[in-house]
Amino acid sequence: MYKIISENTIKRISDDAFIPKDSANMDYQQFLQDVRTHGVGIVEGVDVETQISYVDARVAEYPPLQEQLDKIYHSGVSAWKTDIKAIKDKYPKTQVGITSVAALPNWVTSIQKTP
Amino acid sequence: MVIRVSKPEINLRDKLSQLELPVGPYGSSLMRSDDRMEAARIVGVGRKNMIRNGNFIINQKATTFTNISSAHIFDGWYGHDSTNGSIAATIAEATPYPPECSKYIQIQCTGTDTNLSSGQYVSLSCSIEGTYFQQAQWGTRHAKDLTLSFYHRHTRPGVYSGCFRNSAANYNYVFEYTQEQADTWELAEIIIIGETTSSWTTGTGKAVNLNWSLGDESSVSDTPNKWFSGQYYHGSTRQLNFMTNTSNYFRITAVQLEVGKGKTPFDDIGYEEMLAWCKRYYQQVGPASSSVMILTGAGNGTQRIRGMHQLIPEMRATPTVTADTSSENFTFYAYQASPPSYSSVSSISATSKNFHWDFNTGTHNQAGYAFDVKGSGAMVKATAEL
Repeated sequence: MYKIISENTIKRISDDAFIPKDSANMDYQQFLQDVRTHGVGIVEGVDVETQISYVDARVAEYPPLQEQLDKIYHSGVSAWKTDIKAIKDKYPKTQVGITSVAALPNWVTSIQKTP
Repeated sequence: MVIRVSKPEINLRDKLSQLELPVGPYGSSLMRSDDRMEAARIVGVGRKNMIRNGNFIINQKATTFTNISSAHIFDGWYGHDSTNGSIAATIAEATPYPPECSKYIQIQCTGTDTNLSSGQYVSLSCSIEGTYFQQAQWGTRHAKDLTLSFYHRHTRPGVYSGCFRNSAANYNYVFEYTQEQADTWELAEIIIIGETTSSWTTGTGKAVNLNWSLGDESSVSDTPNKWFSGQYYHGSTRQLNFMTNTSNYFRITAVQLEVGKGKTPFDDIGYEEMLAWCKRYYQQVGPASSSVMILTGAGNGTQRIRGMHQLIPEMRATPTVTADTSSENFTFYAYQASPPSYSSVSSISATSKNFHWDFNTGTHNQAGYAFDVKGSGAMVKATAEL
């Protein structure tokens, strides 16, 4: 399993080794071989930190009002509060940014998997 | 007029005896050499051994490796064991000492496998960078013959073998040697005719992989003394199985690969030069005493510390860098207030000349201030192995 750290660095998760994107590096050659063998599913994209307020983050994740009302009708207020609290806890008022995982760069997706 | 002509007396017996001066075969070769190039080659001047750490004097990583599966072990050497048994390797220095060197690698069978399954093998190997192998001029019409020599003292007598392979591991030349007497130092000398047809790297990549087999199943073995195509061959079909008994020991030293036909004395280039050569492929920062700094950096914001470390000598390629905290975390010394605790690696990036590290820490509120990094167990490893 690997994680993209930057345009030039890959992290091998098993031992936290930082592998350069250098064709002369044997670990990078092994990375290419592993992707060819197992596909890009073994690679996670780079972490992206975005500046977003907790209000905006919560609003983006709350279900539509119709769904919330439906939840109350079918499961009761307690169940609805549980769902809403999970989102509030996920984005606390102290939050200053969100970390998400970006899509894999082209130099990874273009590595051909061996049939 | 009379002209008298005289000439000095010639002692014919003395002249004949001069023709019988004792001259050995190499002496006569030297006298017959046509030019300085040929004479220099016969004398064997200059660095000639293409194999790094062939006398096992450098050991940057550990003194012993146990349960080896596939790993770079001592500097320049790689161990592989895919059998159901197990092996351990150490650098030994004990009587009976081998000729020419005092240290040797000793591999012990620590778990047996008397019946190797398909594709299983045990091997010790080393790889040669193209910049060192280019002198052989393989793949050209000027290809030179090479001599591989080493001393071996295996406890189990019989036929052993090895293999020359190209970097893609799909073009092979198997060789054999015999341990005649158990547990006795013996010399192996193998001559390989210059290869003129294939492609051999001359740059900073891997040119040749040289394997010693300790056991190989039939699908990865072949008959010796010929070049043939095939992926991942390791030894000969007559290779004995080293993995039959936990009292089996495999030992070699003074490993030398040189241009020319015939072994010359082992090329001892000295400790400091060998260490520098090995650091081209592997460098380690720390561990050191808990009171000794191994890196210096500065506060990067309030929860990180970062810095740069120079790699000397420049490494073969951009290295893989790992912060090894398996036995202990890094600690810090702060010049302002209390130092934070180490959390994790934020990122490390490298070139062949240096690496830049950035560690996550507890909150320190000392952005821009200097920190020392210490580690009595923690270390940073930079690897550009072949």
